[in-house]
Amino acid sequence: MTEVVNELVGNPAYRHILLNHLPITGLAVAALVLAWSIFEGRWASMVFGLALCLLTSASAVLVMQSGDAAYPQLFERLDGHGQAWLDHHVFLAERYGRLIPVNALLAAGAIGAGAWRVAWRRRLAIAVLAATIASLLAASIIAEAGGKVRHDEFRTSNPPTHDSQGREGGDARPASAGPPLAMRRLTEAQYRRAIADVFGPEIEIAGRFEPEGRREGLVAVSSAFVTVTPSGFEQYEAMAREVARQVVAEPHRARLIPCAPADPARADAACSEAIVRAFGPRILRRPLEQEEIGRRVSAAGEAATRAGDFFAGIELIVTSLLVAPDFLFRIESVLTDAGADGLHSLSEATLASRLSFLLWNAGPDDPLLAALAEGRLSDSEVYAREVDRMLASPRFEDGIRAFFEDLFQFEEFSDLGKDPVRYPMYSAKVAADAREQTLRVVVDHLVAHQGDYRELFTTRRIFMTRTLGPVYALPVQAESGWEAAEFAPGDRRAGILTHASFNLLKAHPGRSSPTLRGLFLREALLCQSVPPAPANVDFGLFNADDNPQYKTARDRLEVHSSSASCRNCHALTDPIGLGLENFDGMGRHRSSEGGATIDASGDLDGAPFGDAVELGQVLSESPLVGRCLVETAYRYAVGRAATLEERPLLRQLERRFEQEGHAIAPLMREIALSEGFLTAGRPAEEGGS
Amino acid sequence: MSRRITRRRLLERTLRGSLAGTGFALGLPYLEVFLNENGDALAATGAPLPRRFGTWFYGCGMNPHRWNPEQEGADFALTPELMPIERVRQHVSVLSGFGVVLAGETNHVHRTGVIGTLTGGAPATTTENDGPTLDLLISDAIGGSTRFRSLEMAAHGIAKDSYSRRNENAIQPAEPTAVDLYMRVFGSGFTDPNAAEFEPDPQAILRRSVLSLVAEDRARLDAQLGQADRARLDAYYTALRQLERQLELQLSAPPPLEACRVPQSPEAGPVSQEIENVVRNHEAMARVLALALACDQTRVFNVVFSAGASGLHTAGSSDTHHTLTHEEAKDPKLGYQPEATRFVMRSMEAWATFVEILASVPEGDGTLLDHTVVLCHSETSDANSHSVTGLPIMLAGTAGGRIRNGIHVRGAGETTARVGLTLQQVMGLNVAKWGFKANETSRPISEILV
Repeated sequence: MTEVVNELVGNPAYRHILLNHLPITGLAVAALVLAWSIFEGRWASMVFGLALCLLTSASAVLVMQSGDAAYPQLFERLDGHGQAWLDHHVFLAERYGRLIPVNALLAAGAIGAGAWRVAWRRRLAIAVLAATIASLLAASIIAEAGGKVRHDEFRTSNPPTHDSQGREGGDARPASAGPPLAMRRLTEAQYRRAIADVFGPEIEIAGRFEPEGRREGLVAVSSAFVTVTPSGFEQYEAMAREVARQVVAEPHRARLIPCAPADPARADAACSEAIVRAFGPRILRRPLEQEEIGRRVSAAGEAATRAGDFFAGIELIVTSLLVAPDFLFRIESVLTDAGADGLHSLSEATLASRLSFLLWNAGPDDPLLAALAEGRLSDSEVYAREVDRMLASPRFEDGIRAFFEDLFQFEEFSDLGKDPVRYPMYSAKVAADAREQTLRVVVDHLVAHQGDYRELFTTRRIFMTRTLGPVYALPVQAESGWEAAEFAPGDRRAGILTHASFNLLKAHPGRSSPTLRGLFLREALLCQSVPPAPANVDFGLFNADDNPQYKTARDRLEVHSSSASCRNCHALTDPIGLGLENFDGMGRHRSSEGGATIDASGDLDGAPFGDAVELGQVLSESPLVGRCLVETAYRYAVGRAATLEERPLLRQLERRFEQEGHAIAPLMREIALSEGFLTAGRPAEEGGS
Repeated sequence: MSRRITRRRLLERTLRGSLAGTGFALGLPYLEVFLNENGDALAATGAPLPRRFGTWFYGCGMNPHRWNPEQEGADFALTPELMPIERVRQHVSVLSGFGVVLAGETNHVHRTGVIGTLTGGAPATTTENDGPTLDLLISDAIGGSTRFRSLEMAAHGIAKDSYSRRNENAIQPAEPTAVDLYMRVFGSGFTDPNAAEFEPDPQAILRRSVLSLVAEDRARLDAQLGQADRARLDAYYTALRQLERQLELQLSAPPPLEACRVPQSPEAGPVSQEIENVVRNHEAMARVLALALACDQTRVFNVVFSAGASGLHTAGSSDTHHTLTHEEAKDPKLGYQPEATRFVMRSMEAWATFVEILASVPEGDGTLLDHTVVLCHSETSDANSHSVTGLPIMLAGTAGGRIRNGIHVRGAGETTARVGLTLQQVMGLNVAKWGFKANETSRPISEILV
């Protein structure tokens, strides 16, 4: 029993929910009692009515206090819409909520004054009644927004966006020394890029990478959680040896090895050192200390002597760099001295890596390494110049490509398979081209044309290959390679959602999946969370697509909507996923399924659409789309979810994104220059794990 | 420094030992030469034949009313969904009625059943488990003396679908094809224990110095890290030490092993989740694995036939096993989903094939399977409702005469942690109780213990 009481009283969210009826239903009852007492005219009744007004109005103080305290724990658990509604709820409470306690003072004053001046009693009571009704109105306005925080069934419109300056979290906010650093394992793409950058794209990499996972919607965040398993390490070591073998062997030796040993059958410390100095900083993404160089040179010497081959030693050096934990992981660090706000600046090496992985998805290049070696990067002007140089480089495309591959969950292409009988047109080449096609459109629109991110969902520009021609039922002139094209106005396709890529990926091996598609739209593009399916679902009514009763996916999914336990989540995913039903599990257009015409109409949170093209239009107009991209890009940049303290920063980034016409380069620049990107707490101050 | 150790010298040593003066000569069959007089230990080292542990997982369970046997004990009648194991029933014990006890935890669909059985705890979230999986507990104890602590393989071809997990951030990837498995075990770095001559690989010495060079950076890196990341770096160094150990083993001659034959590389075939491809890949993997065990390259293995929420499908169908379990109508006459159940039957057949392959390799006075125990399990019983009670569980092999085969034991809705506890004890781990919260138990399943 004490536990129950403790939970009810001790948990501010609970307290808030328990008490928040008082300033509404309580106030309404108080107003009625007061009105009756005025009509009746007896002072004793009026005092009772006034006292009720006093108590119910005063309760608003407790409600607001508990609400403030509950904010951080609640905010974390909400989807994008819920967070926006919570902010709006707080905004309204701050603006109008203060009226209500004032009413309590008025009622107290009226009781006092009425006892003193009999003639004023009635007028005082009427004044308090008026104030009580005003308070009731204010409370209702606040509560109306509050109800939508957790209850999506109340959300009939999109949450209003306004410049609420993100909130201080109140007492429940954990005392934190700042956001944590991220120790990220290189992704497969980053590993491959690193080898190509240092040794050239000719070097072959044979091996398998460990699963990368996905957290907070991104591989980039998961990479800050994954470790290396014994069999994963075995693979890294084998790959490293194979790369090293190629590096020291012809034809690459002449190109890559910067010096010749005095005698190729013996150790040569000077040449070994030159090689460590040439490769070391580029592989480990920082200048090497003399001691580290010395150890590698002497180990190379021993190996060369043992094997009677100078290059055996060099192979050892290269392998040792490629299996080093500070190559495989991006290990971040901060400077020892904290700023006035308790935050620590990132070490220069960490800063250089963060920046170049954000903008290029690769380690620092030579100019950045030079600035790093000379200790110039902590100069904010030098840093800003580097940011601009890298944004202007053609390699910025690689960075944007990597970000969108992650956002779009394109790594799933590597495990994609389709039923060859259902989809004889499917091949690994189709999958690879479909993936590349969407990325080309993204890069072309966002980088080459500096376009508005939201227009990705409506753009008619497309790139085609011969392989993709039959999928799109479009003629392709180019015999090989890529060809720019445009969907005609009024075409059944426009915007990236109508590309083969998403429709291939978000589908089953033998058919489409409106649920998977809708889930992707909600979670990845709108940053809303959809609860997982309950375990004990009764699918008894729901039949496979060869059941004559239900011809289209819509028919089958409507069965879900008839069951209350399914309805809540499927109501989030299916109506928008069904908008893409004109594309089969292969991404081909179709207008009917099982002989029945497909109805691809629906609505996105109240905005109606008739088909996939209109769905793209509606999506591009949603205020959540831009906001979601900003949040995702920030998570991607820092390798973790934004903390509560960083919300003002996110809002600021959002505003800048809007002001810059939703262009990607200015957003990345703002992120790279933001305090959240440049600083962190000290690891030693992190509590627990 | 690379002293040549010939097979002849090893044999001389052997003969001077336990068999000296008994008149054996080189021409005798391996069996007598390599084994001691009881046939249960290697003569060369006097060490008992290795004991192995493995898991064999398939997705989407079964139909409880058609799978669970009626009678308990040795004379139980095979039920319709157990018919495929008839040819190996003497090697298999069936455990019905054991499940993951939720006790208020969410049933994370297609996750709780498998992670619950393997970690002894119903996971509270989708990102954290209560402990390492059973195979890791066992390989931590017995895996140190072989080249690989464990081998993971996924017959459906998806490397990341592996249930061997230190935690959710350290999932041991599986070999996705029989060829990959073959290359890993019998490719470079493999030393035939029965080869006539042994010469330590000079590469292994070089590789070892690379690793010790890297190991020296540890203190410097540790100093920069917070607690959680230090633990991750720790996992990296554990992996590194494991490879060092592997290289050390390569530098000394392995004791000869009678059962070991070096197989031919399997043929590369199509790998996908199409059932015929999975069955083919699985059988080829099982053959490579059997010889990997016989050659003592590992003593722990994890086979995934199909993942949880199984994506297996038949050519030309728009459905997968998983979607069928939810969407196919129950045939009113049969009382089950006929298409979905077809995948259950194919899984049971594959399991029987697996058992048969391990039982076909002679070892000591019995077979490889006699010195092994394999846990067959799935993430659900009735997949339609994602039920984690009464999971389908079977044990094959006696782990060196420690487990009774051929019987049916019925649990009364108790935790699968009892199975895990039993297996740890059988594998020689000194544990008296295992499992977390509501799944904690100190009661092994005594009915199957010899």
